[in-house]
Amino acid sequence: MLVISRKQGEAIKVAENIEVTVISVDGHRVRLGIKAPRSVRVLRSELDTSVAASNQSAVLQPQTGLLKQIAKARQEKSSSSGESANP
Amino acid sequence: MSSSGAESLTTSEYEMLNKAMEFPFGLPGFPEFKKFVFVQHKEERPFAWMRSLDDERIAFAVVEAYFLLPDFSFEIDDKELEEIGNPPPDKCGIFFIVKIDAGEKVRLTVDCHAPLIINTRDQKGRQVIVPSDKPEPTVFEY
Repeated sequence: MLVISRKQGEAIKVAENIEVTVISVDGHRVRLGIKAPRSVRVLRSELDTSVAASNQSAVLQPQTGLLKQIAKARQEKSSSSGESANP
Repeated sequence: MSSSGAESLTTSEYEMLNKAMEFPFGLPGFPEFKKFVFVQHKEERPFAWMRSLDDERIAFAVVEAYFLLPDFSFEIDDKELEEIGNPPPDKCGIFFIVKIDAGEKVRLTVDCHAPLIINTRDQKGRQVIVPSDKPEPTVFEY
């Protein structure tokens, strides 16, 4: 891992086309500006963990009735509110 | 796209049912689960089951993104698309895993950061993590 110190307003360049600027430093919070081509995906690292957790909490045992019940409730709601469930 | 009734299946959805789908990267939280099958009864539309073929006790409820969030869009990386066989847009199904809390009311939660992309031509899929302008999980109650 490369470690670089930067001050507010300073930047680093990654490869030819990515630039990361330190916009501000406020206590423990650092704001970064990232200039990169659209094809470069920039994500908060903790998103990975949160998606794994939300998948784990979504696990179901296959039950025949559950989705039918939801589909029915959904249909009843959309017809009673007069809204289209599928605009 | 078919021109039939409001909640009928889209072409992509129809083609992909009951076939083993390979998820070469597993799912976040379930890296070892690499084969799933999508099943759906008519009365369950627009929802479907995504059942693990590695462990038959495990399933997820899924829904085509379009049905819950008609405006949902995201950028997919070329490389990520390549890794599931580079499907053309009309062979790409976009789904959400739905978290269900069924009590008095049914509460559905989807994480817009993590759509499933299914290559319906080659039966391959993956979950991608994308930036979303909806920071919180989206909830529907019925």
